[in-house]
Amino acid sequence: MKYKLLRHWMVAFGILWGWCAPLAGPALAQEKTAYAASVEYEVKAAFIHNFARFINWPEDSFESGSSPVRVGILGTGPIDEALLELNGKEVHNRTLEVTKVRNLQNTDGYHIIFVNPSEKNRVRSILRTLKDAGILTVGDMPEFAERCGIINFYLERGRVRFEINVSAANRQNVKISSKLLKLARIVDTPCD
Amino acid sequence: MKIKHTNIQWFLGGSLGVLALLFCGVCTAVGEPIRMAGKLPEDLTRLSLEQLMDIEVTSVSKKPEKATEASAAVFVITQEDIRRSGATHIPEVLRMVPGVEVARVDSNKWAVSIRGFNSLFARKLLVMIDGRSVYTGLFSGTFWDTQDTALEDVERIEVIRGPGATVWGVNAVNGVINIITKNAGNTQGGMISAGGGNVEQGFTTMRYGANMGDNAHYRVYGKWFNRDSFEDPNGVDSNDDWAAVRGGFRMDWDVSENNTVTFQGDVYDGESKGRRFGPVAPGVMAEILDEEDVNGGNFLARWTRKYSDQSEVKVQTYFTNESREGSLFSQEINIFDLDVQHRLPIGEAHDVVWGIDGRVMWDELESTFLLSFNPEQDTNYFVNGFIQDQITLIPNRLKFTLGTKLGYNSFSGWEVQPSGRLLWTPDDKQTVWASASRAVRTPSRLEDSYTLRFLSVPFNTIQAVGNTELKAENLLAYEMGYRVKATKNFFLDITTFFNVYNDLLTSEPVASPPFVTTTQASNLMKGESWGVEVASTWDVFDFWRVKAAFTWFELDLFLDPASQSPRSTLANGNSPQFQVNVRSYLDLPGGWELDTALNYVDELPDLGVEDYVRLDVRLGWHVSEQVELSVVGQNLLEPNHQEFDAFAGGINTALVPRSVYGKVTLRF
Repeated sequence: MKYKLLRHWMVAFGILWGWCAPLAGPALAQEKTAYAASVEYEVKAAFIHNFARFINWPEDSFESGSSPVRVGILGTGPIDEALLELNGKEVHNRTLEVTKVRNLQNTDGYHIIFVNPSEKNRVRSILRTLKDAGILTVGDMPEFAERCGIINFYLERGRVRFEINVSAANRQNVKISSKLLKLARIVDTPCD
Repeated sequence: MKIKHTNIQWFLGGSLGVLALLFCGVCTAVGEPIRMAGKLPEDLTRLSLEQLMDIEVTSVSKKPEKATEASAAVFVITQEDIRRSGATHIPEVLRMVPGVEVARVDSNKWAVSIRGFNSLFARKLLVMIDGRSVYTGLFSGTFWDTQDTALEDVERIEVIRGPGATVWGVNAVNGVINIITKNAGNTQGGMISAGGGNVEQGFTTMRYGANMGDNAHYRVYGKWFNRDSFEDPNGVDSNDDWAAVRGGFRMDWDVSENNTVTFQGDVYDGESKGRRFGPVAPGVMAEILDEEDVNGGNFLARWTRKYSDQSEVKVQTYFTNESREGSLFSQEINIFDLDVQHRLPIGEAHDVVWGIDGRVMWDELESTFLLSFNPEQDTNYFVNGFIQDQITLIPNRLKFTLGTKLGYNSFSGWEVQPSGRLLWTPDDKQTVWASASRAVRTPSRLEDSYTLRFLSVPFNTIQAVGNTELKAENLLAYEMGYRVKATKNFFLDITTFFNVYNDLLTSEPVASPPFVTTTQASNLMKGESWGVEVASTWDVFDFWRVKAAFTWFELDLFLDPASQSPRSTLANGNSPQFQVNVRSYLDLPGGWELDTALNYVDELPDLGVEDYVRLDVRLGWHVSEQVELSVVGQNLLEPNHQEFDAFAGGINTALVPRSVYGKVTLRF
């Protein structure tokens, strides 16, 4: 055997690593990094930043010409970290202000609300509550747009795509630029 | 005849190169779409919607996440791993997987196995490319010299250690290697890579992909290489140079929202040379300079009908033809396979998958004095059905999977292969799994019908013969694993296993004519193996990633008291006891990449192979989105080293040399 010393060290290291890590793992896992920051969610967050550029909200939804675009996160999910990082980014003359939505009854002043997949089972009631509130609803789950959410993400061939329910946007009084509509898959479920 | 054949290869390879250059000129004139193949910019919010829509996200998040939720020992090799390894052939990439043994026998032969029993013809492994079995129907081993594709178009390689028998096909006793190429929609545009070095004397791959209408995409590729011969331990040329040319296509068509169809196929032609020593006629031993002509092709069609996220039907059929003409034997094997799978949820808690797979293999073998077959032509049938139910015991926390496979084959009749798996995910970051399963390796066409003469000198011939009465080798496997995403930057995967083998193959002496010693294949060996496999990924900084793998493997084989097999059948020491693989991917400013891989493989005492350390280094430079240059050095620590000994198979062992090559990759 040529590499006797190396082999000794390696085996010792391997055993230590193999047996201590399971003990150390759960302790480390308590750390507050709940989700993997993966590219998929960073891309989705970047999309949401882009949406803000191509949406016209009702006149009265901003206090002044420079007041921020407020983005709310409903539920928890792997996108949260990437969305919160959008805080302070510029959109035209405004900045983005991203916060978690604690109470669904208190959504006044929000312009975009992202509904996490964790809220899947109560999507219908959430969207009913947000009806006519002048808010762009964005989701990341099947059937979101069919249930009258405005924009929904989906994956196609490993790339992020989005679909838009135009009728839902009309109901919310939110105007979507033709550029966005051109890139989207259109969902034509009527909403009223 | 042989010489002419080589000329054809050079001609085809050369024209491919010229075509590549022409192509390159034409395509740079066409527009330059934004390409995200390499690095992503740090701030994605600066990108336009169109650019965002072009970023591929599945391969980095969805699939590996899926793997971390599996109740089996799964390791995923990503395209990034393949590219940064600098490997030029599929088995070389597998060195990074814990529990996998990769040993290069000579320039074009590899011994690859999972959890022991390694040999040039390792037989307890299922290897697939895009759902098509590629291990040979002849002896259930894999001819690695004909398993290839454009490495740049491989999306990932999933390696599942342990019996994957319930869902996967037969032969998945110790593991499954599943090579998955990209959807044609994800390989749009052109790519040309070419390079050469001291061992890799020249290689080029070109691929072009485009769309056909709104919903269909295709790609075509061509590939050629020529590799130099190695030297044997005495410094003599091993006569094992290797050249091959191959081409293929893949088309993916979204017929409607819920129906997708895939067509793909390849053809190849190569010459794998070698040197072996063996009997050529009664009483005459000689060295044979072997020139194996290999060629073949395959065509596959797959239709997937999706009913919902949890429910779909998949129908797949393929045909393969492989032919090999050499001095040891010649074969032409045809396989037709039809596979139907249906996945459906039953109630809230049951996720059921069932399927049926039928296969016909017809072959024509040509005997030599060294290796002969009786009969030389045969047709064999295999039918397999499986059903698996994944039961959710506690939503998002506890799942139990129960499945079984029931199969019929022409060699050993009916076989049952049940398995049970428990998956516990206490939170989003941790997975604990345990399983018990049975798997069989059915006797192969070769074991059924061969006569192999190892030695023939005047008044003495030693031969081994097959046995039509063989039982399937079988395994009871108990596995347990733990995975944790300990922090945002550290992922760890640990697997332990205990395997009990029964009815393993031995060679038993039988009555034979004077001056001949004959042994016959029989099932008189048992065995136990256990081991620990650890894999980890550590993102030290966002520009530096370190991946490591550690393997500890023990095997004990015992002969049945009735066995008179020679002790040498006990190949306890054909596998390394310890293996370590550490890889570092370092991104430097200016588009530079520095990648290093350090690999320790323990000695193989029964084969007299010493332990070795190999160091591979790759320096890459993304000159622009379109151009990538790289220099790769392999086995840098020593002029050469030995990785295996296949003398028992009559094959000359060559030393793996130090090698360096340069490569240019253009995308347009």
